[in-house]
Amino acid sequence: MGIIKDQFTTKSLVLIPIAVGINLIGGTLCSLLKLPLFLDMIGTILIACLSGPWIAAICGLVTNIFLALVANPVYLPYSVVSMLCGLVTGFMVRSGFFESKWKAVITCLVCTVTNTISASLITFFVYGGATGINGTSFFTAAMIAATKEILFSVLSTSMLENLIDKGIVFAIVYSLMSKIPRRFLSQYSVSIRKRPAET
Amino acid sequence: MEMSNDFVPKNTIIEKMNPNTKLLAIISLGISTLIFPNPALGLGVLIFLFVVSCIAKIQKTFLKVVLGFGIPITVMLLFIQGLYSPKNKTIIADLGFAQMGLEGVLYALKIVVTLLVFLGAFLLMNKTTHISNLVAALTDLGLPNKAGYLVLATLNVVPQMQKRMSVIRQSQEARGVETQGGLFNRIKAYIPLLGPVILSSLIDMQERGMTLETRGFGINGVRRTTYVKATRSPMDKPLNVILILFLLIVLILTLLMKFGIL
Repeated sequence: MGIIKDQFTTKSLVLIPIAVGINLIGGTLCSLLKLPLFLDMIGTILIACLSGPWIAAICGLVTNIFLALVANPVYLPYSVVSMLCGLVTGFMVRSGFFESKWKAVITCLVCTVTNTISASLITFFVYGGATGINGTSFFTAAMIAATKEILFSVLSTSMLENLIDKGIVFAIVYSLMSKIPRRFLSQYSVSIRKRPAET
Repeated sequence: MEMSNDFVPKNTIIEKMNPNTKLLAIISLGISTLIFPNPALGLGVLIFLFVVSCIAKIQKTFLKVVLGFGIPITVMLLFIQGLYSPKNKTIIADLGFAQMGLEGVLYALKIVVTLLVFLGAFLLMNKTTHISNLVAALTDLGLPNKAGYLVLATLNVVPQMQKRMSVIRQSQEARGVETQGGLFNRIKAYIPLLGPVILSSLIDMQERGMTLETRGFGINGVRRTTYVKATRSPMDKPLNVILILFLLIVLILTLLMKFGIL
């Protein structure tokens, strides 16, 4: 418990609203530029690198609560997904899996798998297969018509979109981490031992 | 996507109720619909919610959101579950390429009704409650101050960041960054737009943290005063009792039906 409590400093707490903002701005920018992606987890991954897993989990939770408050309560059950991704990434970063490009790729893959499995399970068990809030629902429906397997179709659709999505998110966070001023990073030295190599 | 909590005071009875009562209503109505074995109860609850929205004078928004969300998801789930659910035994229609089963249709309707009850109740609470009022009520229930700060700060920070992003977008466009055109062009535009927003927000946050520290945000074990007090109304207590009773009755009915007594 002591380790968890150590992460909850004022500096980390203040970082959460900003990270939530980054998540949402990333998502809005995507729809503004009409990109077929979400990119709504940049803040969570960034905060996992800066402040650690538990703060990242809270950031994921707050993001979904906020989305539920202002946009659509459908997002609420998915807070479990964001929390899991934050936790997994945080612990991976902490054990050194963000120090080089290849290690970051491994973290990215682990995060993608976590996201895919948890999100599909929620889509399947809470919503019965589709939420109808984005275009991928139509793709899922087409897959179901072709394969007649609901869970398999939900899983494979979500795997495909997540792989591309998380890949871009991690690339952005990796390049950001090497651009953030050293003076700023040093406040959060708890979680990241070595800064990624300058690119 | 609209990212602000557009609360407009309308001075109705619903607005004057304690936010915790509304939260209890979401939980009680939602869970009752969820556990009850068929969609009929949920339909009744939805009609009740519509009446409440009329009292709160937001029936237009209510209908728009509930129908706008309800119709597409009903079609989608009827397609997925109605045609391809493994539980289908009784066939009610033959569409040529697939058969529509009764069990899947009922399952789909149940999910849709449950979702709509949650959505509608949540919408009613959201539209009739100012967020600071809600946070004040939750703090009364024992929510830590820091958690309350998180929700409120997020609501304040996000519009600020959006404003900052539109400024950055304009200046990047003035510098010649293309934000329209082919897919590759738009992806390339993403980084120069997002980077400055994130970096400047992080620097801004550092100042915010210092300001809060100097005002004693991190001190533990002191009694804090509040600026916003949660609203209360005489209807809160009887309503709480009714809501809990409703949930209990539905629970007992469901159990009786499960064991085949009714």
